[in-house]
Order: sequence, then C-alpha cells, then structure tokens
Amino acid sequence: MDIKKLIKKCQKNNRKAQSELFYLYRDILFALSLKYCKNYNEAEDNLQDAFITIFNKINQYNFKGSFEGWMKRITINKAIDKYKKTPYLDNFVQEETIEDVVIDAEELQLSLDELLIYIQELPDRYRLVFNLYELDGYSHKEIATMLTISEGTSKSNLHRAKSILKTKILSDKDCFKKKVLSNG
Amino acid sequence: MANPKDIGKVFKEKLEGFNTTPSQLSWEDIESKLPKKEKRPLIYWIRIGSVLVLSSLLLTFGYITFTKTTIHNSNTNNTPQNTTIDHCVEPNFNKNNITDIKENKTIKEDYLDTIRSIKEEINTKTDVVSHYTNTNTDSKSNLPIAQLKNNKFGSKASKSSSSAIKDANTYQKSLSNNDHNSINNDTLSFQFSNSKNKNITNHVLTDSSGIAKTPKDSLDSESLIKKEEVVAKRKPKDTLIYLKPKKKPLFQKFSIGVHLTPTYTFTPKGSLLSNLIANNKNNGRISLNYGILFKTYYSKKTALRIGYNRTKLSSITKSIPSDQIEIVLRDVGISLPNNFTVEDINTLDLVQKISYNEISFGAQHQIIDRNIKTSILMGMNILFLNQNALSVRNSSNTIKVGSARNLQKASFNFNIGANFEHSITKHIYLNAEPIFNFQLKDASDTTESYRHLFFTLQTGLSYKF
Repeated sequence: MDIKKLIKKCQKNNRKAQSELFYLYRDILFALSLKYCKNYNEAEDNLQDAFITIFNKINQYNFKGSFEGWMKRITINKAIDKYKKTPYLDNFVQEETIEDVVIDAEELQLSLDELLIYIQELPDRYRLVFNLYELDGYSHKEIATMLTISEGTSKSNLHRAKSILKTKILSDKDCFKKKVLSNG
Repeated sequence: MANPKDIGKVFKEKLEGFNTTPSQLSWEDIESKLPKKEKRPLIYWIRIGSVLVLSSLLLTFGYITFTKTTIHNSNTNNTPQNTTIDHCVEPNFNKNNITDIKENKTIKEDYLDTIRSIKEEINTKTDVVSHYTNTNTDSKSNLPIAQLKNNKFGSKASKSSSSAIKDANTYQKSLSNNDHNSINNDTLSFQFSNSKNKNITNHVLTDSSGIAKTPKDSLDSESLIKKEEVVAKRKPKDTLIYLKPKKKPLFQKFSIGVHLTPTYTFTPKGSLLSNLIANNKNNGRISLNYGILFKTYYSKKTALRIGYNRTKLSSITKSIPSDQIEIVLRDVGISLPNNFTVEDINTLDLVQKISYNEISFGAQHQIIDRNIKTSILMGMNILFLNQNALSVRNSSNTIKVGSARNLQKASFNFNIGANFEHSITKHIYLNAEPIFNFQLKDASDTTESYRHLFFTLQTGLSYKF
C-alpha cells in the first residue's frame, strides 16, 4: 500500500493500517532504539513508547518532510527523555582540549553486536551525544537544544565518548592478543 | 597506524543500514495501549448539530404550517355565521332590542331551543297577524311602496301572513344572535299591541326587504312560499353550507426534488496552493454536480429550503515555470511521480478539483405567479471538504499528482438566486435555479488564498404534496 494512504488510514485510527505501519518500521526503529538505550530490554520499552506516541500524534504529521525521519525523531526523543535527568559530570571543558580521536580502521574488525555493546556501555550522556552527532547527523547546536546543554558541553561529551570507545576497543584488543599469545 | 580514521565515522559506516527485530515486542502490546477508536469531536458535533438544527427547523415549520392552515379553515367556517348575523339584524321592532342585537353578536348555546320556541310563538300568532293585517289594509300610507304599487297585500291575507312568517323566521335568525331573554311572549305581545304608530306588517315587510333587498322577493308570493318552506326546513348549520366560500385550490405543503447542477467557478487572483503562484493566471472551469432539495411551504408563496449537494469546483492555474512546480507541490505535501519528466517544457498548468459535501439552508419567496412561477431565494451552505485532486498538465498529457493538504476542512457559503418553476402535472414540477454562491471563508490556509465564487444552475424535477 502507498505510504500516504497508509498514513491517512492511521490518522483515521484504522487498526489494520496501524498494525501494517508497525511491522513496516519496527526493525528500523528498534535498531535506532538499541543504539540509544543501555540494553535490549530498554530498547524494546523505548520502541513501544515510541510507537504509542507515533500513533497518538500521527494527525500532527502534515506530510511535509520524511515520515521515517519524523518517526525516528520521536523514537530518539523518547530515549532522550529517559536519560535527560542524568546529571552531567563535566559541563566545563575547554574547547582546545578537544581533538579528533582516530583509530586504525583495519584494527576495528568487530561485529555489529559488538559495536552496539560498546556504544551501550557508554555513560548515558556520552552515548546520547555520540549517537546524535556521529550516527544521526545532528549538529552540536541541535544537540544542545535537544539535551538542554551548551554546545561546548556537547562537544566535550562527544570527545569523551570517542576516547572511551577507543580505549575500550584497544584494551579489548590487547587482552585478546595476550590471550592468543598465552594460548599459543 | 595504516588507515587512521575518526572513530565516530568508523562506527557510522559499520552501523549504516543496521536493522534488527525485537524478540518480545509485538503489535498486540502496542495495540492494547492505544486509545479506543473514536470520532473526531469537532466533526462529530458539527454533524450532530446539523441534524438537530435540521430536525428542529422541519418540525417548527411543519407545525406552524399545519397550525396556520387549521386556523385559516376555522376562520372561513366562522365567517358565514357573522355574515348571517349582519344580514339578519335590524328587525326594527324595538330599538332596545336592536341595540342588544347589534351589540351582542355571540351565538348562544340554547340557540336551537330558542328557535323552536319562536316557531311555536309564530304559529300561535299567525292568526293574529292575518287579522291584524286585514284590518289595516285601508291604511295604505303605512304599507311598503312595493306593496302599494302591486296592491296585493291587503287582498291576499294568507300571502301576507306568509310574508309575516318569513319575516318572523328572519327575526328568528336575528334572535339567534340576541339575548335569549329578549325573545319571549312579552316582547312579541308588546310589538304586536303597540303598532299604533308603525304597522307591524310594515315592520315585518320592511325587515323582509331588508334581507332580500329586492321588491320581487316580497311580492312574488309563490316563490316566497317556496322560500319560506326551504327556510323553515333549514337547520342553523345549513346557513353555513349556503354561505360557504368557494373551495380554495389545493395547498401543497411539501416538495422534494432532485437536480443536476452545472457549476462554473470564478477564480479571483491568488492561489489555494502556494504563494509562489499567486500571481499566475487562474481560469475557472465548468463541472457537473448533483443534489437533492426539500422544501416546506410556509404559505403559498414562501418556502423553507433544505438540501444536500455534491459540489465539485474546478480551476486551472496556468503557466507555472517547470522548475517551480516541484516547490509548489512540495508546499502542499506532494512529490512529483517518477514517471513525470518536464524535459524541454518551460511552463506547466496545474488543475485543481475540489469536491465538497454541501448542506444548504434557505428560503424562497414567489414574486411572479404565471405559467412559469418565479421566486427569489437566498440561503447559507455549509461545505465539508470531501476530496481534492491536483493534476499537472503539459501540452501533451495530464498526470494526477496527489491531493493538497492545506485546504480548509469546512467552510460556509452565502447564496442568492432565483427559482423558475413550471408545472408538468398536478404534482410534478420542472425547476431551474440560477444561483450565485459566495464563500465566506478562505478556501485554503495559504496567505494568498481566495474565497470561491461560483455560479450554479440547478435544473431538475420536484414532486409537491
């Protein structure tokens, strides 16, 4: 069915259309939730909350812009709302201390699940900023508005998130090497 | 480091297109938390309100029409009685009685009893009257002119007594409107015994002529006798039958009709779609609509109108630059289909068709009652947006691109026009109604939006009952 017709039917509270829309976008939005949430269960809860909000507010969608983008934004907002209360540890970071955190791409031979685990293990605030900036393309200005923080804090959190990721990946790699050597 | 890369970009590349299915979450979990299906409150209440208003108007006018007709009939029934009173008064027997008669025009409940008693009185007095008239025939100066000329009265006592009977009957009628107490033996005795200055026959005949107005009635004794017999046989209500007015033509209270409506849309400057094309030339188009109309006649000339119309309005915006068309359509939530290519075309036309469900309320008043009856009409319409379609047209073909999302869901119209009606049979009429409609609200939410102005020619048949 044409997506517009499907949306119109959903706007009329048509259960069949809502169900169809759910199955159409469930996987995409669940993957998004997994990146923003701490674990699998929280991601499922977030997805459920997001879909309930989507169906309740679908009349507000005015067919301007991407519908998928609109749903993703709702899903992300749901996740943000959950972690917004977490206090920031370092609101004051000098911008000059922020540098690119680089890694050898060839060394990063990790599965999708492993990558997700690394992201999920990040502290809430770092994880949100890292996802918003690196994976979903929001600017620091937008992130600052969304998370009600300053742009500087957003940049600082992103830098720290990347540093943590790099440290963890490299340390895990060293551990793995040591294990291989000790076994060999 | 062989291939140094920002860690964020590496993550993004690897997680691009990542999808996974939740293992536990199902549609049922979400459905149970969604609100139950309910109608949108505004539309719901508009519908309920419309039905209530419609029903109230129908009931009110139906009731008024029915009540008015009943009262009208009652009045026509009363009129002959009043006429009878007017014609029967002035017996001139007694001035006090005359005054009483004139003042008291109400019909007494014991009317019939009074008539019977009077008749008895008259029967007993007939001999006296005959005798009295015979003894006074030499007193010609007291006779009515008509009787003097024909000189029949004195020689035909029995006929004169018939006249007296007639006059007595007339008097009965007059008494029917008089106080019962004024009709008694004493009154009659007084009238007959005090006839020194005025001959009783004279009184009676004068009274008789007062009713019949022509001397012939009082002189043609045979016809008089016949009339007396008829009058004597009459019951009080018979008078009403004789004086009943002509039957009025049938008043048809209701009418229901169907019509086809060619509609032409006038398109003023502006745009329902986008401010970008507000200065482009708009052309109206003709569309064919249909509807149903119900009329309740408040009087022979005035009727209340309630109807439903399916109204489609069509217009075309010309010469839109091809590079603007996509922007214009995006403004109203439409993306061009893939199979649509502008190629070397510089300008395109945009055709918009808007369909409304229209509920109309109004009134009409007849101004010319000829073979073709002409009425003026005016009213209000409520328009509910049904659907709309946009098509892009170039020189070779037209492609439907979608529906605009910026149109008002409901709006109002004022209309004024005329009704021409021609009778085909007793109940079936041919109608033609040219009507101008003015939209009272902007048709869309763009700042350069205009209000529709359209002309309709409702043509159809109606059935009156």
